[in-house]
Amino acid sequence: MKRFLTAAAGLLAFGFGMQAFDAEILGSKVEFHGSLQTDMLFPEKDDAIGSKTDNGKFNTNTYLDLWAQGTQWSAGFRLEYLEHPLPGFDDPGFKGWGVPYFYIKGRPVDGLEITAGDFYEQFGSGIVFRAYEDRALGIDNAVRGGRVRVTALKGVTFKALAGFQRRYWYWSTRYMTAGADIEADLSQWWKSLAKSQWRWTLGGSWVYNRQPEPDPAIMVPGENLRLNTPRNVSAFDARTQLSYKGFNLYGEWAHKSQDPTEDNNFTYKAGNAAMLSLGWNGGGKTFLVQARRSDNMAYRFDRTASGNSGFINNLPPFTTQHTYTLPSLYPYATQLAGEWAFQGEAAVLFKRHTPLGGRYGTRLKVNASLAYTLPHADKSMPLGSNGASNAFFKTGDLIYRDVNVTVEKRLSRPFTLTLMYMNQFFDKAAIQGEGDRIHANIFVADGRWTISPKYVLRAELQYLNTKQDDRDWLDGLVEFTFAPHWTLAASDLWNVGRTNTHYYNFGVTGSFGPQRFTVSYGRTRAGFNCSGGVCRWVPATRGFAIGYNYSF
Amino acid sequence: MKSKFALILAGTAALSCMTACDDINEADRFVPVQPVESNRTVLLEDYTGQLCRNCPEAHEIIEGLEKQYGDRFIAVSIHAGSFGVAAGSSTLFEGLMQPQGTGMADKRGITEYPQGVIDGGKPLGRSAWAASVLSALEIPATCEISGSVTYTGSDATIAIDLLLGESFHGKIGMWVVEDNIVSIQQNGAQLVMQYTHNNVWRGSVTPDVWGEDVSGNLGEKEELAFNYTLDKTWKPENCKLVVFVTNNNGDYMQAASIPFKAAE
Repeated sequence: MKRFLTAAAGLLAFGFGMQAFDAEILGSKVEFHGSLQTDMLFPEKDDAIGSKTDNGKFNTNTYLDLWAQGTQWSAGFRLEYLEHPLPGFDDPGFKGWGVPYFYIKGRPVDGLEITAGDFYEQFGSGIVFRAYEDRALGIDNAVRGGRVRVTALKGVTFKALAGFQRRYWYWSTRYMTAGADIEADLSQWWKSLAKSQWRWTLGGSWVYNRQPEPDPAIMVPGENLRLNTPRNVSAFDARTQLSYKGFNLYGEWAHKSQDPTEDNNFTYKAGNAAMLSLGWNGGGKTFLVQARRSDNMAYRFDRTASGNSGFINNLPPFTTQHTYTLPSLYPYATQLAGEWAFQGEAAVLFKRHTPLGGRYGTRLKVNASLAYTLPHADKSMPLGSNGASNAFFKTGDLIYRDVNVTVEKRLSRPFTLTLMYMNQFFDKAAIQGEGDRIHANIFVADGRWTISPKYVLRAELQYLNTKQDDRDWLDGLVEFTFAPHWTLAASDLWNVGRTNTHYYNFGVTGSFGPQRFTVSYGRTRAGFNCSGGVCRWVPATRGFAIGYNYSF
Repeated sequence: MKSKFALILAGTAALSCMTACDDINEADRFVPVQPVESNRTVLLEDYTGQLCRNCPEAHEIIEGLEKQYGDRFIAVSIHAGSFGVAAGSSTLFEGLMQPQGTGMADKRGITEYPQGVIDGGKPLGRSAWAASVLSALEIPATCEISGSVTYTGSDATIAIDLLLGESFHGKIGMWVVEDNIVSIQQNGAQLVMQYTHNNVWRGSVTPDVWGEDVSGNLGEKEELAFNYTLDKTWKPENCKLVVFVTNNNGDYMQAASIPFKAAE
């Protein structure tokens, strides 16, 4: 309790003490800004759910960013404190503290931007290159080096970069990444296109990774032989986007050269990915269908790396990312070996004062996602072989299916009700490494009552019905908001089907301008936390938690 | 001028694309490595589980290393973690995870399955095992281990001789390991009901699984004696005693595998 109060007091003092400010340096105005994000846990032992205190009685992931913004330049750095990380962030190498991110960026002439230091960047959808940060997943593969962005030519954006990527607290000069990306908006060049409502962009990327011979070498078990691995691995990408009024078509194709890695059992097959997305919106209606096939497209700068670290690219998820608790109990993770994934969505707004819209209007959304493996996996092929051959249009096993219907209706002036039904199939063994093939029906009711301009009450009730795994779950949440600053919440996730365990949580959130904090106490269930197709295992915990965000 | 600049940059990138791949033909993928003559026996702790889909691939790697190195390589498969099936948890098949298994995995910092620890080093994915075993064999051993294990029923009598090539204070550990156990094993998407498990960690002769204190001087022969009672479900004729010696820094000095023999 003493540590908890000390931490809370420290945060409040910081928040009220730090503010953005301006200064004049060498005759130019410079603004100073920053942001603090800290999540803290004071864990307690709870044998009923497997909560431990093996990592100490205080855990925190804390990030402080500070930067200066001039007229044509900016510079900044980030301090990270991960010496006593939150549960679930126990990858070897994750622990540490220091300043792992610093940069200076300038625009010496119009249309040219140069960055030196650490930076994030993405080419297209990220299939060949994405350097990004996701603190909830402990991912940070920033590039440390240099980047140039050129927008001098009308309608064309050109980027080039080179450097060494971060892996926890290491930037090994043994692994170099370089790349270039160009994207052109043709409507800027063709007058007839510019005059019409058509927009057409073309883009292409190239990424290069240099790796030395792995140390230790990759040996063939049982033989006095080692693998001769390629020093240079490249990936290419071509994409196009066509849009007209509410219609949008996006296509992308990517190729990766031979890249024997831990992910594909060190086989020598090239990788490829193809993606097509068609969408339309207008008149209160939206429609989207997408398909993606990827085969051996996991691209790491260290071929012996595993887990969530060491990636050059990111394969975006092609299944719905749910926000309600029970629909996200079994989250899909992008299959690095390869997959066929499909997603479709249709949404319509029935306007008010219509038979289906009622007095205030009704929103209806239907969404479906499917994911299949490829027929044969590279991991099942011998080390050093050409990998598995898969016909382009053939799929393997269905490992994920999700069909959901959501209706959102304002029943009266102050009251809005959202109802959702979801039918889900989740092959837990294929996606998470072990478990049942789960068939679940999930029901969600979410009501929001605006009592007055100052008070809002929200309540959720969710039910998951399945005969597999831990069987049925019930989840309830009540949230009371005292605008503009306070929200009180209480929730309980109850495993009614097998363990009868309650995962309760009580919390208060305060929001004061740039400051936002949450203080809560309760239990968190062990499970996978997923974002953008990437997942991290989080163990069960019980204790006080503080979350604080401040931007200035 | 701007368009020329952009075209030059684009062209440079395009040229780079064409020169930056290293496709390797099938005939050039394998490079011979000089075999190692060694007096050391390397110990691999294989952290595994009956519900672990990829673990059979690790077992195949172990078989390959056993064939390659003979008695210079010992593997012990320690069932642990959420992929392990606890011993005694099912009447339909035998669970192979002993109560100490998960604690041993936690001590070694195992974060995924399968992972292996070679001569007490850091956890490694299975693709790194072969190279690490080769590196470990290059380190000369400074002691020799020999001995005998005889059993009558479930009672085993253990006699160990340590011949020391240097003076040291360290620990000696002794693990009972059993072969030829038929039980379930997840293999990819398939659950194999009659899978033959080898090198399965059953228990430790010393109360601390990581060993008990031992010390000696250069040139001395330490003679140690122990008794151990096997669980009634184990088959002593399929058992062996894996003995390992570490110095005070935790460095592995030597390992040996001694088969159980019925007392005459």
